[in-house]
Amino acid sequence: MAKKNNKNLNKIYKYPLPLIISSNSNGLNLNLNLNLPNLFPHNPISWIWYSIKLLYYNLRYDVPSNDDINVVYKDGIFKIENESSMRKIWRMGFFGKGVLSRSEPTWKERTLIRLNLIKTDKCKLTMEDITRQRRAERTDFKKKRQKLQDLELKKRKDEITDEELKEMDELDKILVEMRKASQVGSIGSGGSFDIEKDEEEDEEVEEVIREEDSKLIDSNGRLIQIEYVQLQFVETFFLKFALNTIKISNFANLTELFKVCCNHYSESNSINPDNKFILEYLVYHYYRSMGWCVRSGIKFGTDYLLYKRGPPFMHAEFCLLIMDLNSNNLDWFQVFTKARVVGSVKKTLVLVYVETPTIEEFNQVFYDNNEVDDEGLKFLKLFKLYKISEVIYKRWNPSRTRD
Amino acid sequence: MSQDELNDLIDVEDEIQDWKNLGMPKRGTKEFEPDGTTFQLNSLEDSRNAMFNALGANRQHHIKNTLVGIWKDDSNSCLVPNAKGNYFKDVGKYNKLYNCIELNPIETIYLVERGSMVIYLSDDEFMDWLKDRNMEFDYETNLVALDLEYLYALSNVNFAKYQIYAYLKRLGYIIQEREEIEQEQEQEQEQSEEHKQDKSFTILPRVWGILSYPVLHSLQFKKVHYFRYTDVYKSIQLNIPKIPKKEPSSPFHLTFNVWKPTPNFSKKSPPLPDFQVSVIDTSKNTDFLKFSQIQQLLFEKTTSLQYELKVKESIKKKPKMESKKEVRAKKQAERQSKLNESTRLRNEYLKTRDEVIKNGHGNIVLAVINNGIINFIQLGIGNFNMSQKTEQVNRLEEIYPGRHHELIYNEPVY
Repeated sequence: MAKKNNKNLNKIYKYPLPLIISSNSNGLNLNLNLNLPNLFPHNPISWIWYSIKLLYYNLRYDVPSNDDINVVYKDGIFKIENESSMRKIWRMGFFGKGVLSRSEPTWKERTLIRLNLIKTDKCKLTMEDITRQRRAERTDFKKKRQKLQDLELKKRKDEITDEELKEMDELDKILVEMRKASQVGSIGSGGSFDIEKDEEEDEEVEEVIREEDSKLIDSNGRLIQIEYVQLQFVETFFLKFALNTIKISNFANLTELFKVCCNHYSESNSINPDNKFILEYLVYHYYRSMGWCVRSGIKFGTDYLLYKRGPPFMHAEFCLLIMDLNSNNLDWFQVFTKARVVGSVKKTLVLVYVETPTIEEFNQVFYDNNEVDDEGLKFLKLFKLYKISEVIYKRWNPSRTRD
Repeated sequence: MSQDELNDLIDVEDEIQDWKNLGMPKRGTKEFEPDGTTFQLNSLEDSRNAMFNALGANRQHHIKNTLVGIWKDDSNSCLVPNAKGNYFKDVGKYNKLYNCIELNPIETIYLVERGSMVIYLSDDEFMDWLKDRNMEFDYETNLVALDLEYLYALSNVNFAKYQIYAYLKRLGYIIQEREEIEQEQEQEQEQSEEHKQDKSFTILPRVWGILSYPVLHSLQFKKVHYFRYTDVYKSIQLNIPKIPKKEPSSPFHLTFNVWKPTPNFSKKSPPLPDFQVSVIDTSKNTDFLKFSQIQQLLFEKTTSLQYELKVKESIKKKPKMESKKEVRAKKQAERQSKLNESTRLRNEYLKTRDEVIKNGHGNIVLAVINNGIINFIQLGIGNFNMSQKTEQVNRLEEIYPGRHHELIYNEPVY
């Protein structure tokens, strides 16, 4: 079950970044041929073959274009409003959050099902549905367990009837099964809910569309998309600076975008090297560029979460906390609190420290426009002034590590 | 959350001691609540009585086995002229001058507090006797016996340190106070990553003038062909270096060396400690450590390399009993040996990589104590970018040479 599920996910989330690369460019349809030959450092023939191939590709094909995602900056929010862009930005690297959904923008899908506007034999479960389903299962399990415990107490008090004894036996068996099932099931699997789901649907068919819902439907009877994806500042800057895969009409250039992001944290016009946005961005970029899926860690009181592939595949493994290098911005109690929360959800806490350059070093690169002609290169040079170290934090339980 | 995870949340330490050790359920506190049945009431009563019996029994030892310590106030230590019993495996140090074992205040209080040693105050007569020791010395009539309270008052002991020591010792660990800062330690060798970038295959063609856009150039992904996401990731890496070590203004130090219980521990040539512990008393100052202080502690840590130089090869015999962990590891190895070579290597690679990322390197233990309440944590330097070439990182390089091991994205084969 889990494996089959994974296969499906692998297909949907095939690309780790919202960037079409030459080997999977749809326009060419030459997927198999468009791969470079292997290069063996000790084999000069492979070098020649490699360079010929490369030259051929460069002359024959254009690099796939990658700027079809429009981002708008409105009311201090970076928004993606186009539906296919929304899907793309989520499916290729898990960026942003659907404002009406938990993370993946699924509002329209869910509403279509809720209002019975599409016919599906086996409706696709969204993440929200899966969570609801899992919670229902858990509540059911707890109810049954409570019942069993009540019966056990009755037995001890010697007030139990034969019928109840039988019931107790059965409950015990069911609970064992349920426990087993919950251990096997990972994200997105669940069995017993299907029946309940059908019942609900039957009820809904008879329902008339409410007045407030009717406003969601246009004159052609189609559902209006009212959801948009909101990007974090660091996400926006990453998509623009590192991948250059988005277009933001509000800003003429990268520096302007950078300034807006920095000023989000400090009102003053001058940008200090320890501006919170810069620190957050560096940490974000650092882990993103190592292939991690970085998402906000606010739900655990930390700055970021690290997923190995992305939320649908596996739980996040790490929680990152950006620490102040020179002062104690947290005390032991605050660190313990966060660590306890992080530990209880089976994640590892990582304290990330960023060393900043001096303001002179920073300004020299940031305000000197003559030396480098390209903005991307300017920021590369700027970010290279910083240093990053991590500290892995774990609880130690001496009674467990003894043997 | 699965039942398993819930169970994990219940701390072993949180378990209530079941003095009866039979009949009663072991886990959790709920089962100990009275539920209105006589059965439960009786269980509780039995358990309570078992505890009283255990605590109320008279503790006795044979007069011949009495362990006697003499408190020497001028040196703030305790001399044991006739060391016997099992305690001296890790406790005490040989004092050449007096030809006997000498205990530091922490060790002294620990032994006296657990009722294992009787202690007297030294005087000149005793010190004279200690030199030749040609006849029996009657401590009881010649010296003043100290009670625990008096000992506490006399000994100049850091109570936070003592509490950590006693706690770990009672759990069965072998523990020794570290000597004052040891020899100079070698600077960790951080290997520069700067040159690595230039080896990347995507850059080479640029040298030949085919591709002319450097990494993170704003037109990079518009003008350069990429065929693998691995290369995309490589090209956007900033190769940010680690923060160099700085001397902290108020450094902390490592306090204890701790070993897991082992039958053949030798005080003279101890193996590399399993844990190196720093005691941090937060009763007065609750500020979290600064990064420079963490670096300093990790720097102070004795590494296996230094150990091999310092300690002569001490033969480590394997304990007879296999722990659960070892059994599990064995089974795992067996399962792996049945797979074919490339799968086995791949599994080893992925496992080792996860371990490097998750554990970092150079772990130390901080025993954070606040008015007697202890919380232990472990800190290690993170190695997400694999710039520290530890043994494990080298193993990764052995398995898949030339691969960017820090890249956790696995390129699928299309």
